[in-house]
Amino acid sequence: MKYQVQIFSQGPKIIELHWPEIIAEDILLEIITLKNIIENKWCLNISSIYHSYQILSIQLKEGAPTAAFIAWLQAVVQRPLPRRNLPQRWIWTIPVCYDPEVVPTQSKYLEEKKMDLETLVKYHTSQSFLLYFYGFLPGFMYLGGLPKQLHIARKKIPDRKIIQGSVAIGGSQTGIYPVDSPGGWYVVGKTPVAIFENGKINLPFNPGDKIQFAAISSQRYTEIQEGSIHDWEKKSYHG
Amino acid sequence: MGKLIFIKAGLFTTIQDSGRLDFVGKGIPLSGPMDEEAFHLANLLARKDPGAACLEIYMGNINLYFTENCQIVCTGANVKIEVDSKVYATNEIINVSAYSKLNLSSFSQGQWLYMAINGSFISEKVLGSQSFYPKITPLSKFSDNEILFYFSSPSLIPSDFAKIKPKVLPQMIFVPAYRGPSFASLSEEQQIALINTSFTLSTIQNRMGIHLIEKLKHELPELISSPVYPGTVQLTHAGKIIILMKDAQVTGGYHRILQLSVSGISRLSQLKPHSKFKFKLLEH
Repeated sequence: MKYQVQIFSQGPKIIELHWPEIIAEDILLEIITLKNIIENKWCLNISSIYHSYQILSIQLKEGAPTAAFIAWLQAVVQRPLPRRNLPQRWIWTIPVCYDPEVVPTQSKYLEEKKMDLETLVKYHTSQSFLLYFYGFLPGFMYLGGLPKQLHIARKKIPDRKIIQGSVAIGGSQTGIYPVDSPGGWYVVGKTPVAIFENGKINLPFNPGDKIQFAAISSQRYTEIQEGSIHDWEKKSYHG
Repeated sequence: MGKLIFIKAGLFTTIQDSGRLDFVGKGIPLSGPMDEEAFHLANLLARKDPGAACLEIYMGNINLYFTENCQIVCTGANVKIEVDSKVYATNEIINVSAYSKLNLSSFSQGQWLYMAINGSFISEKVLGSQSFYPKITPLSKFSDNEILFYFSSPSLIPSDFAKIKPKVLPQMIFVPAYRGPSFASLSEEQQIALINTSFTLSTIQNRMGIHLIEKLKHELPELISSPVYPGTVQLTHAGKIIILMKDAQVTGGYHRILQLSVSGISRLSQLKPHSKFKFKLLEH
């Protein structure tokens, strides 16, 4: 592997692999590749496996052979990673309505930034964003790559409620609020696709994939909102 | 199918099973019982799978009405259990007849109680689990007059004479914990303070986490988000200590100084606000 990786365990059931504390795509790809290798070999012993920017976390089941697992990990992190273990990556299109009628609170962002709507939409849809991991709220994506022009300091006093489906910007990050939540980010758009519905989670995107926001009209917004299951648009991505 | 009617639902009564292990990668909290040991005991006594759905009851003061015969067992917090004015203890199988009322007064010790049924509680499984969680399951807690359906198993548990005594908490409580990733970054003095201080639980606590009153001053640098778990002891920039519990988010940006063991989480969960305890370092 390209990076030096430390193994850190917290008791016999929580084992973590620590990469250097940097936010970088090549670290993410190493994590995803290694996660895949671990899952293939140890699935029967793993109760959960997930990661953040630079930590891969494995929780073992009761009675799993912890010592053998760690010894195996130690050997694996010394070796080069086979590229074939990186899963297929996708670029997903998420429809977002930036119409002020649908997103009235958007004006706060535009006023604070002294920006017009056209510029906001241009930058927010000009490139795709890398999905690093999910966290903070159920189904909340940590996306990287927001253009500098759109960065904005988080609100000093967070809003009591940001409505589910809101697409927002805070600091150097952008993301979708999958459920209602208090938050200090500025809402800039809304996606009509419900992420939690009828006991199902509508999030086919995996870490390593890219998210492309696409501007839609308020009419299209209503159509998608009233429609049944949303068919996500995707194309393969070879980063 | 029987109906369990919550005449008085209490402060925070939910259904909990073993939680949503398969969805942490999508940012879904694990959920599950605050006191896993008591939860397992309840299911064991009710002859159920260790992860079967139980009622989780916070602080007591609840009143239930059952429309069909069933057998239940309560574990965890200590409380007087009254069924139609007959009194039972925790950890004993209670035969509840149809049209009976069950009353739990306020808990004499502990905060969380588990009620298992010889049969099953019927509620929607969302993402593989019946555990309540706001926005994921239809209910986030039971309210007064709400109805829960249940199946009563036709094979009855024989009354046995061997009994498990209710738990008695010792005077000084030790909560076992492993070193977290940031433990080594603390100075020796701070490490000693963390282990020697008798900490106090604040009133800020729920199924997501518990805040402690005493602070631990430090100059550690800020971090980027990392995975967190039930039992993760977080140290905020201002030196506040927060212990994450079962409904906590799956990632967090604070320093992780300790990680409670499974029994450490169970023990801590049963301590009421203002209780004192010490961490006990575990080696592994």
